[in-house]
Amino acid sequence: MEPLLPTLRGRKRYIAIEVLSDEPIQRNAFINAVSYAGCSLLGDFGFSKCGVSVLGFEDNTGIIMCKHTAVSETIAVLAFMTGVDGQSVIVRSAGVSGTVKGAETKYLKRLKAGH
Amino acid sequence: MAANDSAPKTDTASKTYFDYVSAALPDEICAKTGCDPKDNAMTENVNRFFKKFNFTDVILFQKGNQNQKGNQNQKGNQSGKTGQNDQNGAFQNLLNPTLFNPNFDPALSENGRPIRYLKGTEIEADNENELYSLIKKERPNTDFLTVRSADEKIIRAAAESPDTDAVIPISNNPQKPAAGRINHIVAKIAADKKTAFAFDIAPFLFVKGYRRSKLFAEAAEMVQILQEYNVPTLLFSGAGTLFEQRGPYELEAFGQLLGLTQEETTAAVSTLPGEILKRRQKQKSGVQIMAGAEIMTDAEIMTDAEILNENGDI
Repeated sequence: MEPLLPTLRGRKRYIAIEVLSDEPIQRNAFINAVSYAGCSLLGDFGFSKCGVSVLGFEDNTGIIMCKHTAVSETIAVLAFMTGVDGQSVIVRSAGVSGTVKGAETKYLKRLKAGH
Repeated sequence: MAANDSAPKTDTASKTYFDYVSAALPDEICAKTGCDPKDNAMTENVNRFFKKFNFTDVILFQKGNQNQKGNQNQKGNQSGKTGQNDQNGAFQNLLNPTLFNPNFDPALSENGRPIRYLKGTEIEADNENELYSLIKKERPNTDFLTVRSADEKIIRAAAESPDTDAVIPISNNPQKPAAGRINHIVAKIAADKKTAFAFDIAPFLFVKGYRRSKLFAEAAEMVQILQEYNVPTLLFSGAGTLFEQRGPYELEAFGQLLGLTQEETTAAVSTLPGEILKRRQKQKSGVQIMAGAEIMTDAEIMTDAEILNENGDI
């Protein structure tokens, strides 16, 4: 199928996040926890409108993609996450960017450096 | 969602962000990091924790009625919001310049300065008389006084009191948090007395399903009335334990879920608490004689030309 024209593609935002926990969190467990928290807070339909997907997650840091109109809802979903895989966690959003590169260079690198 | 949500967040390092957390939290951070609460490393570790969330001012609250009610009030309080170790713990060591220190100046809240810790008191009372006596007792010893209750009468009495900084209209039971109700009369009183209403995220975190949806609905209803009368609304994490701590972005998102606009949520976590503290400082220092009347310095007095210029008349 022909890819959509750039003007027809949905606008996205990329949220750089950090998970504070006692033990390292596995990627799959984090993805499950995000979708569970999203459906619990916003409902299945509400969460579907946010277009949330976890792009990358390693060393308790990652990037979450969402629709540009649903940034605050997505951050709220992350705020309401209390546990992943039975572990207590805090999910902290470091910043929001319009491109993956922006999120990586502005926020993720800083997070991985420990700031 | 509003169109202005679409803009990517810019660097907000120069902003001041306030949070209101339990005085027991620094002790928990010490226990986690294995440092002595009386050691300098304690301050560094606690600072590092709050800096991670970009907070510049942290209000550490204790229960105001702990001595009077004893253990009765702590029943079911699993979030550790009792502040039992406060007298000898990290809490007292963190309280560097407070409002009572002449060097305290909220205008200094700029990027690069150390995190300021302020002393807060949270009052829970069973009736109005008890509330008034507790406010009278606690006000001189605290920087930020809040009243937490889901009881309509207590909420109204707290809103009427000029000594209350903020009313938290959500009860403190972690199993069954309940939101209070307010009407237009309470909102008008709060607006007149400049009493803020505060919402903390902590009671929302550990309830799910119907109970949480009801809590959201009741809080959103209150927010709608508060917006109508321009009552200052604050957002705090209200963390009693380490894992209840949330950052300012998360608190702003939480505020938007409750129906606040983006500007209101930003003010709720950054500027409004600072204004309340500044007002209290003026009262404390004797600059403010009574509501609306304060002693001004020569530099503060505006000339006629300046007033006209500010009004845009010239």
